Parts: sequence; C-alpha cells; structure tokens
Amino acid sequence: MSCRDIARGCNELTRSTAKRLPPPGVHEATLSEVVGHFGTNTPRRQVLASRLQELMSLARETRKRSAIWGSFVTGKLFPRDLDVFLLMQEGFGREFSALSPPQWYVFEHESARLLFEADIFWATEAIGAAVLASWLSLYQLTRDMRQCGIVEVILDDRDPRAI
Amino acid sequence: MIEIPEQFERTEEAITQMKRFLLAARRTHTPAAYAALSAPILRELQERQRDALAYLSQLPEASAKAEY
Repeated sequence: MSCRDIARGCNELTRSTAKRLPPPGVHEATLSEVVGHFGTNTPRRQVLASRLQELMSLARETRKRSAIWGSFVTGKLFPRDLDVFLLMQEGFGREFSALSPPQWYVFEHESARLLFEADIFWATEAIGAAVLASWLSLYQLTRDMRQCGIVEVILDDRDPRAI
Repeated sequence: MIEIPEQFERTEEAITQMKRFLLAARRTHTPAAYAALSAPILRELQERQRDALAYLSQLPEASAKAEY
C-alpha cells in the first residue's frame, strides 16, 4: 500500500467517523496519522493520544503488530478510554516475567488501565494467525452488533523516531 | 444491550471466539504471560455473558406462534 493509499484510507476513515463509526475493515495508518486524525480535536482526545504514544513507545522493541478499536477511533468527542491490541514477538511470553516498570505496566491489565487509560489486549505470535484473525474480527462489530472498522497501526519507515 | 435474537446469536458467537482465543493462549503462553494477557479478555467475556443472561432473563414478547 502506498503512502497515498494510506492517506486516502485515513481520509475515508475520518469522513466516516464523523458519523461515529469507522467503516468496516482493517484500516492501516501510522501512529502519527492516528494521532493526527484522532488525537487533536478535544483535550480528552489529546490526553488519550499522549497515553497511546507512550504505551506504543514502551512496547516498541518486541511489538510485531498493533491495532486500535473502540471509541477513540470513532467520532466521539470524549472517548472513555483506549482499546489496543499488541501482538508481540514469539518468545516474549518468557521475557514478560523479567520485565520491569514501566514496560511491565503495559502488559498488566490493572496497571495499564490506571496509567494509560487503556484496555490493552496482547498475545505473542505463538497464538497463531488463524486464532488471531478470528479474534480480531470480534472487534469489527460493536457490542450492539453494528459493523465497524479497526485501525492497524503500521510502522512509518520515513520517521526515524517511528514507534 | 441485546434486544433481538440475532444480537443474542452474535454475542454467543463472540463468547465462543473469546473462549477459543483463551484456550489457544493457554497452550502457547507461559503461565505468567497467560495470567496477564487473559485478564482483560476474561473481564470482557464476563460482560458479554452478562449481556446474554440479561437478554435471556427478559420476558419474551407475545408472539403469534407462542402456545399458551
């Protein structure tokens, strides 16, 4: 996918989220694009965007894929929290026990809720592609069963500080 | 909140998918990693099960097919 396609995808996403929900599908965007589109409108969004950047930065060394869904990637002015999925490198499960703060906080549910205002779901690549795809499809439906999209955060090779 | 049978069916499917994910995670992750990663999923699983039970606890609307 070219940068132009990504930009077009983000524009479509923004138009749709003005009507509340992102369109069905998985929309790729860099973290900068996510922050630019969803993290500026209101002080609440700015706070959550800053939390998102922080947690993504803490997880960056072993993160393979990540996705965001929920109210932050909708048109809501005051999203309640962040819903994030992190797919970590195989073997991270063994390293996990040796993590120390602040990295450890990202992967421990209660700490993550307190510090990042985020429900952070995670697994390692060992979970398998089929199980992962099936599970992520869950979040392409709202709790009241309307179809919606999720945003996959891709690495931005152009940005030397890419996270 | 579940209001119609189709939403109930979808919720049941979601519950099944979450359980499958947890079963796969139990097989493929260390106990410490599983304990951490399962926490938010178990919480959401409970919420969805509560939604399903709330729907089943409601009285059905009168239907032409119902036998009285």
